[in-house]
Amino acid sequence: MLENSLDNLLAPSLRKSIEENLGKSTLNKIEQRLMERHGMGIAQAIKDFYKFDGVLREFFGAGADGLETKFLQNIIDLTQQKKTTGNWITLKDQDLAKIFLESFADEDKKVIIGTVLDEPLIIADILNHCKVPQTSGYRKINQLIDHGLLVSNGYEVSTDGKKIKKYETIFDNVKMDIEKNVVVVKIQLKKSSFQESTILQVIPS
Amino acid sequence: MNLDIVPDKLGSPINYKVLVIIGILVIGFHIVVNVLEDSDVLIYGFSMIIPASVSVLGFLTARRYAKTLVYSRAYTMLGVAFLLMFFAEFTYFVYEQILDLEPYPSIADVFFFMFYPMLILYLIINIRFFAPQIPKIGIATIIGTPLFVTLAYIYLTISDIGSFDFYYGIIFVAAASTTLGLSIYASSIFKGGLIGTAWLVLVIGILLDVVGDTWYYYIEAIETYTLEEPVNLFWYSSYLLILYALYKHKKSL
Repeated sequence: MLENSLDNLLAPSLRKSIEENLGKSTLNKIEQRLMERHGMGIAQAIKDFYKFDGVLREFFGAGADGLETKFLQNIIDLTQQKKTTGNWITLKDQDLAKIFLESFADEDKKVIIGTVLDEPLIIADILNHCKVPQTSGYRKINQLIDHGLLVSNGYEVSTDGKKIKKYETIFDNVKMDIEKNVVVVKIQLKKSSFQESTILQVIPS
Repeated sequence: MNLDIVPDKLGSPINYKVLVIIGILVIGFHIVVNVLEDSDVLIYGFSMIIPASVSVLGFLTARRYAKTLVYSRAYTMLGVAFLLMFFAEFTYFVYEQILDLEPYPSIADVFFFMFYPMLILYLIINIRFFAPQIPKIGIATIIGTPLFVTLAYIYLTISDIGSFDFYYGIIFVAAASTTLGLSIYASSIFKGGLIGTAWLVLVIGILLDVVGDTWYYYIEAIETYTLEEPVNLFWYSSYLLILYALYKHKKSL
């Protein structure tokens, strides 16, 4: 399954939103059904949103529409979404906003992000360009991948014929503000991230 | 049933045996209280136990979903609604059986009336979360149902116009039928889903409550109500169905 970068970024927040609104037992039931029907966990299914949507409909009927919209509303400011153009999204989820803030506050991570902003690179090349120590460099790149800020895009073939993943950022630009102690992060997603997101396709606007 | 087979679709069918048991219970009870010479305490006891049971299950369900933004709040409202119903029945019992006073109208009616806003809140919390944008057909159902039922009540009691009972009855019938309109719409949202069955049972329960209320305020208007009236059957079966709906919802999620 091809992972979409935006879905990758939103998945953990969506999971949290289900738990906050409907409870742990509801989340467990949904997870159980996803596992028995599609053989996947909730995080994986959220990235393959059609399957996740199908299971939600099994539980809530048309109520799944409202539920999904609500989840997204908790994470992305949908009112701002309608007003803006150019693939900008405003993150409402403070945990997600904090990930961006912390990533840019870390000098090494900031340089790593800057290196792969315009073109995808393999990890070894990223480390070479950034001039950060290998051990901490690997750790920080992995953190950025885990948090969904970097995604794989294409491969480079090594001299021994092995395919090595190339990584790039999911966004073109980021704006950060702190308004009344609330971190407001606006990200301009790469066109592919925006258009290929199954979450944005399935959830009614 | 083979437990190893993964079902294509999740199902939560209505257990018709439960419906039969509810039917036998309320009809049997009605026959018993009409056969016994002094059955008032028995009637009050039954009238208090059922809402108390729904209230306890409502609070237990709210506790199960503790700290969640939707279910915890919604089930707390449902628990409070039936707790108020219990208080109302208890107050009626004290007025009539202990103080030997006429309980209608009395402070108990405040409890009876407060039952509806709490039930409405329960329904609105669910609707707001699962269907934030209500389509025209939904608005028509939510507004049209109470309008139709209240007008039907007015038509039935028009001969009593000007009396206290006439206007008093309108308030209760309008409130009760508002819960019906909201529950019908909520049920349509969940139709086809696993919790859809629980909502269907809830709608039937609320429908019986509305029939009971409309009938009750009609016979209060024409002053023929007694504790042995068949109207009680509607309330008993309504609350027992709501109890069953609550159980089904709890089991589904």
